[in-house]
Amino acid sequence: MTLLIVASAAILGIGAVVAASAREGRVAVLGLAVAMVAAPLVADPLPAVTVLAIRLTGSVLAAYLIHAALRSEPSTLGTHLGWPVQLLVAIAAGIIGFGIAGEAALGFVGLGPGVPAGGSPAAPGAATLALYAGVAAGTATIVLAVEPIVAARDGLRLGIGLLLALTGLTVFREALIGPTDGLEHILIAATTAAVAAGTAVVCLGAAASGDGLVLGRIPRSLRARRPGLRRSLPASDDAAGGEPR
Amino acid sequence: MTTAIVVGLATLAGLIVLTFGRRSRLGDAVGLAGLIAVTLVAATIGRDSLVLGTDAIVGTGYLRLFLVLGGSASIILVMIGLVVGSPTSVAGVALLTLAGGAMALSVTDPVVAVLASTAAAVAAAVIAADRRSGPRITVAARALRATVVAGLLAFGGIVWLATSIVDPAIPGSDGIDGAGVPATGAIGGFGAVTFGPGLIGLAYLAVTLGMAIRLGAIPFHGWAARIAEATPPAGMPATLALGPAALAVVVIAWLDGSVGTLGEPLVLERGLILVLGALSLVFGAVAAWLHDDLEHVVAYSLVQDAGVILLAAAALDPASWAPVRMWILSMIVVKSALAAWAAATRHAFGTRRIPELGGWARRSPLLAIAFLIVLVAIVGLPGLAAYDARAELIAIVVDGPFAAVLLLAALAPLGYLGRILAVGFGPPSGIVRDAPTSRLSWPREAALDVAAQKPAEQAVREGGPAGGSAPATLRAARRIGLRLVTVRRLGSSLLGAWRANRAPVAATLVIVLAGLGFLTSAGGFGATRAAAESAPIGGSVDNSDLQGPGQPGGEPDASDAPSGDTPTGSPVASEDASEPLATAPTDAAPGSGGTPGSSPGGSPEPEPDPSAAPPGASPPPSFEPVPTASG
Repeated sequence: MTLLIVASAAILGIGAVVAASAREGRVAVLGLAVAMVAAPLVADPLPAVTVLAIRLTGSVLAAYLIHAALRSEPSTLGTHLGWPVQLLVAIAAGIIGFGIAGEAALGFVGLGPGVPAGGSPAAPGAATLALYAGVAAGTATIVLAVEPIVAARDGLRLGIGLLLALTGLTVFREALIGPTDGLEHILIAATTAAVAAGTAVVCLGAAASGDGLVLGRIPRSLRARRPGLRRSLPASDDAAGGEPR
Repeated sequence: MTTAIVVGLATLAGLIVLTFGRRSRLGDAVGLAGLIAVTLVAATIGRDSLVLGTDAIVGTGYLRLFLVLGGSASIILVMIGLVVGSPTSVAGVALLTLAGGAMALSVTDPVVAVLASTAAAVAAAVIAADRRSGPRITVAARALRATVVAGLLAFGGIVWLATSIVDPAIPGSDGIDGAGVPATGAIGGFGAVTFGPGLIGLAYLAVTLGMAIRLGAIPFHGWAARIAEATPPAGMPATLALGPAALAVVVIAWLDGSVGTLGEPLVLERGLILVLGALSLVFGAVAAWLHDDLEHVVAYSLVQDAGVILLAAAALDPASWAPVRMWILSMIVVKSALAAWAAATRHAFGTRRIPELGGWARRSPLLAIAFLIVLVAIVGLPGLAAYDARAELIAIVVDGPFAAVLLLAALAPLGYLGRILAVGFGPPSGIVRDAPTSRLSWPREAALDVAAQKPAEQAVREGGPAGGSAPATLRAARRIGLRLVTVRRLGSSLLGAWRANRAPVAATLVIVLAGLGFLTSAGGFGATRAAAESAPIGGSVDNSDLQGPGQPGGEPDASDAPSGDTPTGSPVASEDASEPLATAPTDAAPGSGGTPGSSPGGSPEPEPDPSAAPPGASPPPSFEPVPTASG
C-alpha cells in the first residue's frame, strides 16, 4: 500500500513535468494522461473500483480528445523555462508541499492510526504517507501548472496547464481532507473531460485558422523559425457576430 | 430525484445539440425541444432529495425558480436566435449551463457544486470558437482560461478552509489536544501553527476572486468583454449571466456558512472585495456609456451586476443572503431580455453600432416597447423587489456618502440605456431608413398564391373543366391532388409570411421576455420568498430544513430560518442591521451562534461553533438532522 502511494505520487510528478515541458504535443498529452491516471491512486484508503474506473475513464477520454485535436498540428510552442528548470521547480514545490503536510500532520486529526491528536506524526502509517505524498505531489503539480496557464502561447499548453491544476488540486484535497465520495469523483471526471473538450475545440479552431496552435500574436522569433505560421486577418462582420477588435 | 432528471436531461440534450454542426435544423429542433422539456420538468421540482453516498441532491423552491426562469429565457432567446440566424450551439450551451446550474444549486457539497458549474462553463469556450477564425479562437481560449481558473480558485479556497474542520465527533479537531489544552489561536485542522486569520482571509479571497473572475467583474472583465464580441447576442446570457449566477449563489452560500461563521473581521480582504464591487458598479456603467456597440453595452451592464453581487460577498452577513439571491434571479431574466433586444435590433437594422441606429424606436415601435420595459426592469423603481434588493445590499455594506455614490452608480443604467433610447427617437439614420419595416405584414406574393388557387378548386367542385365527364373516382383524385397543391402553396405562403415578418416576430418575442424580466424584477413568481430560502450546500438532508419560507404555504419568518447546521448561513434576512463595512467592520461571525439570521454583532471572539462545520469539510456520515446551535 505504501509503495503504491509513493509510486503513484512519483509517477504523478514525473507525468506533470513531462506534460508541462514537452514540445512535442503527443508526448505532452501522454505525460498529462499518466499524471491524471496516477492522481486518484495517491490516497489512503484507495477509492472503490467503480470510482477508479470513473476517474480512469475521464482521464483517458480527456487525453484522447486532446490527442485527436492534435492530428493536424502536433507540436506546441513549448515552455518558456525548459524541462530542467521545470523539474527543479517541481522538486522545490514538492519539498514545500512536504513541509505543508508536516504542518498539517501536527494539528491534523482523524487521519487514522499513527497520528495522535495535536501530536506529531510519530508513527507514519499509510494515511500519514498519503498525506505527505499527496500534498507534496499536489503542490508540485499545481506549481507546474502556473506557467502554462499564465504564459501559454498556444491552446494545447493552456489546456495542459488547466488540467494539471485541476489534477493537482484534487490530489491536494484528497490528502488534506480525506476520502472523496463518489459524486465528487464523477464531477472531477466530468470536469476533466469538459476542460479537455474545450482545449480540443480551441486547438482545432486554431489549427483550422492557419495559426498552428498559436494564440494571439505570433512571436517574431517563432515566425522566423516556423514560416508556415500565419496570422489570419479579422474577417468582416457578419450576422452571427462580429470579430473582436 | 426530479432535479437529477433535469440535470441528466439537460446534459444529454446539450451534448447532442453540440454534436450537430454550426447550422442544423435538426439541432435547432432538438435544442428547443430539450429546453422546453427541461423547463417543464424543472417546474415540477419539489422538496425531494436524492442521497448519493455522503452527498445529496436537494430540490428547493429557489432552484425551481432559477431553472424555470433561466429555461424560459433560454427558450425565447433560442427562438429569437432561430429568427435572426444564430448558430445551433446557442441552445446546446444554454442546456449545459442549465444542467450545471441545476447541479450546483442542488448539491450539498460545495466542491461538487463548484466543479459542476465549472464543467458547464467550458461550453462558453465552445460557443466562442464556433467560427474558426484566429481572433475568435483567442477569445475562446481566454474564456476557457478565465472560467476554469475561476472554478479552480473557488475549489482551492473551499478545500483550504475545509481543512479546518471543527468536528465535535473528532477529538482534538477543535484545536484542543488530547490533554485538553487549547492550541493557541487554533481553529482546528492545521492547529495553531498554520491556520490563522491570514489563511482564512486567503481562502475567502481565493473563492471570492474566483467568483469575480467568472462574473467578469473589474479588473477581470477582459474576457467577458471579448466574449461578448465573439458570441452571438442570443448566446451571451447563458455565458455571462446564467452560468456565473449559479456559481455566485454557491459562493455566497459558502461564504455565509463558513467564513462568516468563523468570526474573523477580515477587514482588508473584505475591503478589497468591496473596492472591486464599487469599481465594477461605477466603471461598468462608464464603459457601457462609452461603448458604441450594443453587445458591449450588454456585457458591461453585466459587469455592473457583478459589482452588486461582490457587495454581498464583501458584506459577509446573512442579511445579504435574500437580497443578493433576489438580485441574481432578476439579473438572469432582465439581462437576457436586454441581450434579446440587442439581437433583434441588430437583425432588424443590420448594425450593432449605436450611432448608426438613429430613429430605431420610431421605425420599430415593438422594439421600442420592449426596450422601455427592459429599461424599467433594469433601473428599477422603489417597491420593485430587485430595486429594493440592490438598495438593501448597498445599505448593508456601506453607509454615508459612499452609499449614496454606489446607489447613484447603480442607477447609471438610466444613463447608458437612456442614451440608446434618445438615439432611437432622434433623426433616422440612413441604415434605419432603408431597413425593412418592422410592422406585421402579409406578403403580396403569398396573398396572390392563395387567391389563384380558389377558382381551380371551385371548378373541380362544380364538375367544371377540371372534372367534366371524368369518372367520379378520377374527379375525387383530382380534388385530392388540388388540395395537396393548396396545402403546399399555403405552406410556401406561410413561409413567405414568416420571412417577411421575422423582425416583428423577434420584437414580439423580446416583449414577452422583457415582460418576464419585469415581473421577476418586481418579485413575481414568488421570487422574493424563494430567495430567502436556505441553500442545500453543506446542509444535512433534513426535511425540516427545507420547509423554509419559499415553500408553498411557508411564511418568511424567523422561525423558518434554516437551521444552523446549514453552513450556508442563511437566508432569512436578519432583522438586525449589520454594521456597514465602511464604518465598523463586522467583527463577529455572522450567525456565529449558528443561527442564521441572527445579528452579527455578537461577541468579537466567538467560540467555534461545533454545529457550524464549514461546507466542504468531511461530510457527515449520514443525512440526519443535526442539532442547531439555536436548539
